[in-house]
Amino acid sequence: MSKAQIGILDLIIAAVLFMAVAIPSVYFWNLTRDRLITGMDYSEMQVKAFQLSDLLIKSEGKPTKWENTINETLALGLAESDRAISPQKLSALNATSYNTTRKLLNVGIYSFKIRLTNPGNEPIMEYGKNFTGQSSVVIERYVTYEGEKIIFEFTLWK
Amino acid sequence: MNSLFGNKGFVLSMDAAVAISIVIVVLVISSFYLSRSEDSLPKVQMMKTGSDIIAVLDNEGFLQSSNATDIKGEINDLLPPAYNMRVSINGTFLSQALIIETGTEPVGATFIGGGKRFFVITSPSPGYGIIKFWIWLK
Amino acid sequence: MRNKNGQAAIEIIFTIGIIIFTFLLLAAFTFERKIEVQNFAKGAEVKKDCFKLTNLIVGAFINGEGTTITTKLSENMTAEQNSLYIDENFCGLSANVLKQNFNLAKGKVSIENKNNSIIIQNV
Repeated sequence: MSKAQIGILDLIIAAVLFMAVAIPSVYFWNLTRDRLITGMDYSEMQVKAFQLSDLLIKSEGKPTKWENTINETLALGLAESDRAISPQKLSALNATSYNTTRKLLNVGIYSFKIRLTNPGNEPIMEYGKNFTGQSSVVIERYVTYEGEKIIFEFTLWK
Repeated sequence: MNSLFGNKGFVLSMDAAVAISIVIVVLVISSFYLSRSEDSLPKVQMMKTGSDIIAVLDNEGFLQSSNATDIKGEINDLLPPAYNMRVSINGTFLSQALIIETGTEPVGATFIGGGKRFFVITSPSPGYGIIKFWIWLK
Repeated sequence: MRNKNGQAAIEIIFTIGIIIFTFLLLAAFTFERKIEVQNFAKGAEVKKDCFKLTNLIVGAFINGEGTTITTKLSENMTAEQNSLYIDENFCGLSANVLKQNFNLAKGKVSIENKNNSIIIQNV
């Protein structure tokens, strides 16, 4: 008796073609999702960095003379007026521990570094942790310090 | 007459080939579309640069004299090479608006950031002014 | 001529079972991905709202006494000390400037700087 056989070769070819489409689709899906998540994380970091740099260079902080009583500080600000950095507040920041500043700025999972340089890139002050992570955002803002223009560089990283 | 592989048709294979082609085309197009997302944060950076520059002009006292040459020199000093900027200064101390530009106006559909700042003049006589800026990529 | 009876062979039932199982797997996979996309889109929208509000609160604080900003929230939100909460998501405020804790319903809200503190309320 001759037995019929279901076209097994056809089935194998169809299965192979199906896998050839399904596996790249799954891989591509996961790749796109990971890229989206990474992109969103980076955008989040940029938004946070802009917000922090704005706060530091535009506001006097709360209370406005926080440099006299750091323990009662609710908000940090380095400005004596809009984008004019106060030497007293800068000194007070320098004297404050990094962990205290981190808590006040509520940076969460991020770390940060503040760097002030003159237009010739000579350092005036550095504060915070150097970058040792995987991604960072560097914001450069123009401000004045003691009547002269300087660059306020804020790095947020993780 | 028999063909080499018998008398089986190629309909199913063509179906599969067409289906796979469509899937590949959809994947490629969606990949291209997803990778081309517009990032708005460089625009924010540009506007903040413009805002910082006019704040620095105010803090350094350039707006007190309203000397066009000095102001243009200072803007050229501060402005990153990738940007062009236009500034207009008006106030109680000026008979007409002072316009300063660092380069040619943008052509076509270019994003232009802008803002303004109010400032106070103390000499030769008290007054106030407004400085507006427009900033764009070269 | 003898009648020949056909028989639904076990192989056919087995094959149909495999095909149905394969399609069920595909359907489950697609459904899971659809849920993932929906959650992702919702999470992105919530984060956008959260960041918008923190930016406006910090902006109102920076601009000083008397600043009032009006905006729209797409979800209910709780503002506590230096964090904003929407469902299980939260984002941190860079300054402890809120006058008190606030529960906000979705819709129009105003952010006001009064006595160097920020007051947020539904309008």
